Amino acid sequence: MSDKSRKGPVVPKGGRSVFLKDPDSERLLAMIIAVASEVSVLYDKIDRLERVAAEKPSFTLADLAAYQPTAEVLAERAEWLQGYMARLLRIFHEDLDDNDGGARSAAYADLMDRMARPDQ
Amino acid sequence: MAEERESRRGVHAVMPLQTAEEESRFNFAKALKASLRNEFKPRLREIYDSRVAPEFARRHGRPPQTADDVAEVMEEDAHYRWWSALLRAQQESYVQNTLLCVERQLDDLDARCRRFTEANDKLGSLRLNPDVEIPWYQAEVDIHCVPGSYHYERYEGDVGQGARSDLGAFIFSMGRHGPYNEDKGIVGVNYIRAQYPDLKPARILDMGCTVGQSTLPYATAFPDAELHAIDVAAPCLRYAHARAEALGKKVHFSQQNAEHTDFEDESFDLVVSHILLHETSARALRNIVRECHRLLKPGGVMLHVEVPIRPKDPFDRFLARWDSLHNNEPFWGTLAETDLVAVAVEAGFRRDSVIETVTNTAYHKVGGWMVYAARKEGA
Repeated sequence: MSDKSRKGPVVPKGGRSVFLKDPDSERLLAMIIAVASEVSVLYDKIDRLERVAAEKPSFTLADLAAYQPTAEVLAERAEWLQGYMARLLRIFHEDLDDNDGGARSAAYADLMDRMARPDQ
Repeated sequence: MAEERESRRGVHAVMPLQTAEEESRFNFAKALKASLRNEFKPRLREIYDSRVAPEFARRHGRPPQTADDVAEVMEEDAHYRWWSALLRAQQESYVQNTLLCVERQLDDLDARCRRFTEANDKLGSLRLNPDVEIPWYQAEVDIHCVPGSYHYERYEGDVGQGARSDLGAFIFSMGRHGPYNEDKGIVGVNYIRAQYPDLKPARILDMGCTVGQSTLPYATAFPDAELHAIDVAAPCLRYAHARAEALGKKVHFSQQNAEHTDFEDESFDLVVSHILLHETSARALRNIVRECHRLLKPGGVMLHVEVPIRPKDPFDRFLARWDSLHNNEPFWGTLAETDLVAVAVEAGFRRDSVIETVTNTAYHKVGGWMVYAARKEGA
């Protein structure tokens, strides 16, 4: 739909809640989510290409457009998506499992200093 | 695995169609939300117990007692802040993608809907009333961060916000509420059958029906009943009418405010709503329950299916505020603290007829649903 008169409002009323320490980080996060979403689009697109090509090496654009993933293919993609989520959100999983929230402790920093000494 | 519990989106002739790319985006949105809700949200409770509550007690010499107490320390916590930022980013992202999907096919949606709504042999009906005012609790906030909410009209006859709601609700619920997002309606039907086996409704009203996702299970369960459904949002009602016709269900839709309808006194055997109440206001809630009582025949039943929102402790109260404040559902937290039995009694229902309970999902909604029901005296 290119008719601009048919376009509704694009921003929800009331502005955006800010949770991170500065709004720029929040903007950056929104961009990362958008990119991550597009990566999943590309994954599915490549998956489609590979599967169509494996069936018919001389495939056409019409073959690609007509492709319908089977339940098995959808299950495989869903499994990939689960793994992708785990990789995307790795840092939060790891830091949640760490009592110090992933931050380096003073004791560990001291240990590193000691190891680096020329007399050790 | 989470995806094993997800339904494939149900097909009907007026649904917004998805390109392969759009479908991938929506699958990503569902998976991200599932991670945030199911894996990260429960960890916030651990953080509260192990770090936040002790820190509050250290500062004040007493445990946290209110949502504000919890907020004082929790909002400093990096995991809470990132979880919140991710959830809000996810919400905005999927809403934008559903809007783009619908807006690119508005002409086609319009044509497909008209094929059903302008057919000579249609089953149900649609009665719009441009004089119906959108109540302030709907007009002044964009619920769920949806620009234009339920009621925005791009042009006369627009079905866009309705079509978006049909698509969006399925993604918002991560496909856990059935292929047609009909879980709440089935839960209502099942509860009626189990709790009121003698009730044989001849006339049913669904209040705040949006696009009729919860309405249609009543048409299936009670095929001989005259089924009415109301909402204030014309784009949703136009789409709901077309959707019901496309799915072969007979429903009479009309544009009305559930606080004061134009139906006659004692004209329904059953009045229902589904996640309507938390999107209203304290005054509207009382008006709606009073209206239910007015509309019910003696012996008739009012049944509202809601999100199970009752907080167990200050941390629950704090989390309940998240959707109020950040997903633009301001009444949510207040409803969670409201004495619904008192509201029903004030509206004229006998205290011993009022039920508030949590019941099982018919599909895979985590936590089930709250049912708030009462039966009018007589018959």
